[in-house]
Amino acid sequence: MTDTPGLEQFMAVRPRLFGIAYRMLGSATEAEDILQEVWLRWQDYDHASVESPAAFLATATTRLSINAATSARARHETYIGPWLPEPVDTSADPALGAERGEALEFAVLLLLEKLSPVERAAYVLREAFDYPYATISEIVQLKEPAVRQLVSRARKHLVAERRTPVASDQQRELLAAFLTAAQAGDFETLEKLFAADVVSYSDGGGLALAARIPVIGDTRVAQFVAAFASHFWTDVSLRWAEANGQPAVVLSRDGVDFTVVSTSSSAEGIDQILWMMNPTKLAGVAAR
Amino acid sequence: MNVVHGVRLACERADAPTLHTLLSPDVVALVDTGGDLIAPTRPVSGVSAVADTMLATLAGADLAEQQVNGVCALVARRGDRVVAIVSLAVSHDLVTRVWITLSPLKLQRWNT
Repeated sequence: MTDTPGLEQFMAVRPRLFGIAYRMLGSATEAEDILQEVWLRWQDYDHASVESPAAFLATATTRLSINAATSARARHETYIGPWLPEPVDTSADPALGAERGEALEFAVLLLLEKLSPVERAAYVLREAFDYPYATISEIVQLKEPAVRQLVSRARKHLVAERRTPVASDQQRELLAAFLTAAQAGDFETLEKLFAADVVSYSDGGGLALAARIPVIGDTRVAQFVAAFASHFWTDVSLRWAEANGQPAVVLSRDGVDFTVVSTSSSAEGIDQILWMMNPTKLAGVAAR
Repeated sequence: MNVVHGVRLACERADAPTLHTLLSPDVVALVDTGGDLIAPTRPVSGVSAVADTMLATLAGADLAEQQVNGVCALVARRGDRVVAIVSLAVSHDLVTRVWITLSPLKLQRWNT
């Protein structure tokens, strides 16, 4: 097809190189610049001396991306308004050069921004491109145990922010356990049911009863719920319902629905409680 | 998937009440303008503020559901030009995050 030396090897891995640089930088434009730079370096290189062009090119791309990410971070800090990744059309290539579409969603890219560039590189190479730890360690020039630690730390960081919800029957069990403890004002049981960073939201639509600001943290939410146990649940009847696909409970007094309670839970426990007291929204949820 | 479709319809019809029902109480919207345009420069939070931001930004645009960054998103066009991309994070069938890209630089590749 072409006789430009090295072009074939470069084109063979180009999508992967773009995928690495894009995930590192959150910018397709900057990723293209990196690839341009990698191509120039590769062109001038003695190709015969390179054992694995793919590894060489991935290494160059990652290292240049680490440098670029360091200066990009400073630019993002002075950016006017929120900085978002440059959106990329993935209808043609859903995985964007990776085996999996890992680390492409905005949520993950924004979390990656919080990691150091090296940490980010280690995570991207491992999670999206399945590189062995030994290879990553060569690319980022750190010892293998250090790389493992970086990846595991990054993973924990990301998992903490993006939990997988538990199955819906468990959701229901946890909600039931929560209601029992809430009615009893059982502070200790409540605290155990909650994830450490549980948040309780009340939507009162201006009603005085509802807490206007969210209550955060297992101890504080348990105190909050236990505190109003005595009067809130008096003469209340409960009815299971569903709100937005989640198990919920409708509370009524004297035949009048006044609150819908729903929770969402992850492996760590209940991480969100929603008290829907807004009369205008209540009608819609309770009717289902 | 269905949530994105619902958001699309609500935005197209400028139907705020329906849009409200699709947003999580703790929803947050971030708008990236690149610094040039008039838009909130701080994160917008809460159902009605986020809905207002979305409706104001997307008023009159044609919306298409499309794969962006590996997930279904809304691409807003006026005529042939992409003017905004709205990425959404959905949890328990409610939108929890809205990322609106308006920055002309970041939409350049969508308009070539």
